[in-house]
Amino acid sequence: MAETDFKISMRDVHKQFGPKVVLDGFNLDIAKGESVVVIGGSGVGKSVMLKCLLGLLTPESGAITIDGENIIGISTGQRDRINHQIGMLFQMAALFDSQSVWENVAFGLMARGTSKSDARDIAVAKLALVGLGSEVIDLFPDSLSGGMKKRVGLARAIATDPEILFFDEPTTGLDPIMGDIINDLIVHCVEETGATTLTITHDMQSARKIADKIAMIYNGKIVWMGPTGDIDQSGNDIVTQFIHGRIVGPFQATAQL
Amino acid sequence: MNFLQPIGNVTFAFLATIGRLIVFTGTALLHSVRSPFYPRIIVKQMIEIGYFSLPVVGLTAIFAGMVLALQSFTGFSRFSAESAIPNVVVLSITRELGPVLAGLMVSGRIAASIAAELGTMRVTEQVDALTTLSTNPFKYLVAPRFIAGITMMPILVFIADIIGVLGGYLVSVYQLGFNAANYLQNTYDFVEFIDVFSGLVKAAVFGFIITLMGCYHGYHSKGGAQGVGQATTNAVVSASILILCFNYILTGIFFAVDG
Ligand SMILES: Nc1ncnc2c1ncn2[C@@H]1O[C@H](COP(=O)(O)OP(=O)(O)OP(=O)(O)O)[C@@H](O)[C@H]1O
Ligand SMILES: [Mg+2]
Repeated sequence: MAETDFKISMRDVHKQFGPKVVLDGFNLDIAKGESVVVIGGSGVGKSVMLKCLLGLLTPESGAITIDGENIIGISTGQRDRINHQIGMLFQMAALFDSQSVWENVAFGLMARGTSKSDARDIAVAKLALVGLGSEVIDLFPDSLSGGMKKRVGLARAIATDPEILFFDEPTTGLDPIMGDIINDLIVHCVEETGATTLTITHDMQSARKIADKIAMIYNGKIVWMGPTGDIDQSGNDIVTQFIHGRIVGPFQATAQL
Repeated sequence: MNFLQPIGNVTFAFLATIGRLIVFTGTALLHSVRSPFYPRIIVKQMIEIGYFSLPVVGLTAIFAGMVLALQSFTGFSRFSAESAIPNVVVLSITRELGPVLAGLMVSGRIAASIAAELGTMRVTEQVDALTTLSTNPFKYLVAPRFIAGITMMPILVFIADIIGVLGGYLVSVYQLGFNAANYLQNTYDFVEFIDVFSGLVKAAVFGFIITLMGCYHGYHSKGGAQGVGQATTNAVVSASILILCFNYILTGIFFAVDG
């Protein structure tokens, strides 16, 4: 496939903070309608990768395209247009604490001109999808548990039915059953609405369930990427060590410090 | 030549900050005059900045007016110039003390709370989340506070002027034995449009400075709770210093001493 055929494409992306190199020649291509899961150790730059895609961070060099369109150094107007088709779940949910749960979920809808009552109905429906009932809709984020915040964040991300969904650790902090509900929801988003999704997770069970492809990030690069079924025969020592959670191996947890 | 390096570094850091501040101000002003506007948030901020600052500004003003009358009396009675007290009170309050004291008090309240709120939103990624939800943080967070600050400060200061003059009146009439009607007549005859007007222009500028410093330091804060605390302190200190500094400049512009 040519570079422009991918829904999302990152080529040779470099990002550093001061002397600390986080992305170092990072390449990632995602086809339309594909569900890609990125795995990797804590602090290797998974969230930074998403922020580069969202335009919240600007890489020092490299190319990023969405729908074949360059997104580095574009105007805020163009950025707005691209963000219109993206839904994002932040790692810490990033709910607006001055707004109630339903207003949080409906925020993107109302920003696009949906009327308040319609937006509220959609918000209630999306909250039901993530297992949150009508008793929470008027609460404020500070009275929610960590897992509930995550699910509200998830509902907010999918509220506008975007074409692209980014999930930063959607199942972290959830019990296994709720985690599986969220997995099913993500699968549903991909299969029913045809969304392209990029999910970051440490949860291998979740990765196996929702991913078409899994990519392993290490030392600022994707060191392995392949179909989900191949992950156990990756032939890559780093991947093998990571998915089995072994301490001994090429993957040095302390090397990230 | 190593001793030059730290000087260079500090100079560059200073220039970089000035540059960032100018870009921030420009962007914020641009978004303040371009749609979409958020009337509900603007009104909320106006109430926060205007209405809820009334008690503290009112108290400051009344005590300033009272002490001004008292001090002028001790000074002026030595020259039998007590009759100038109404003039001194109204001039000092409208030109200087009203705007400056209100500015300093409001900067303690508002610059701090804006910096804390925006700083918390920044470090918890709520500012980033706004961007991903098709909402420009400058339009949604900064512009409403700017607009509220610039419009509410003159109103606050106008009220502070009245309360301050009232403070002077109370002390003069009930403590120093002035004739009530004469005191008011003197005040009214003496005060000129430019005295009040210059104070209100100052107030608008101070409102701008307060909200700018609050937004700027909050928006750029980093590093968790400690960073937010730092941003809050920086916002109040820089707003206060800038207020005193611009007060001098504006006084110079309005009441230029003819050489
Ligand atoms: N704004 C920033 N300023 C400075 N350094 C940063 C910034 N954002 C991220 N980093 C650094 O970049 C590195 C990667 O961070 P990132 O948040 O992407 O990790 P991650 O892979 O998402 O880890 P985790 O799984 O723990 O969430 C970290 O070392 C972090 O300290
Ligand atoms: Mg992360």
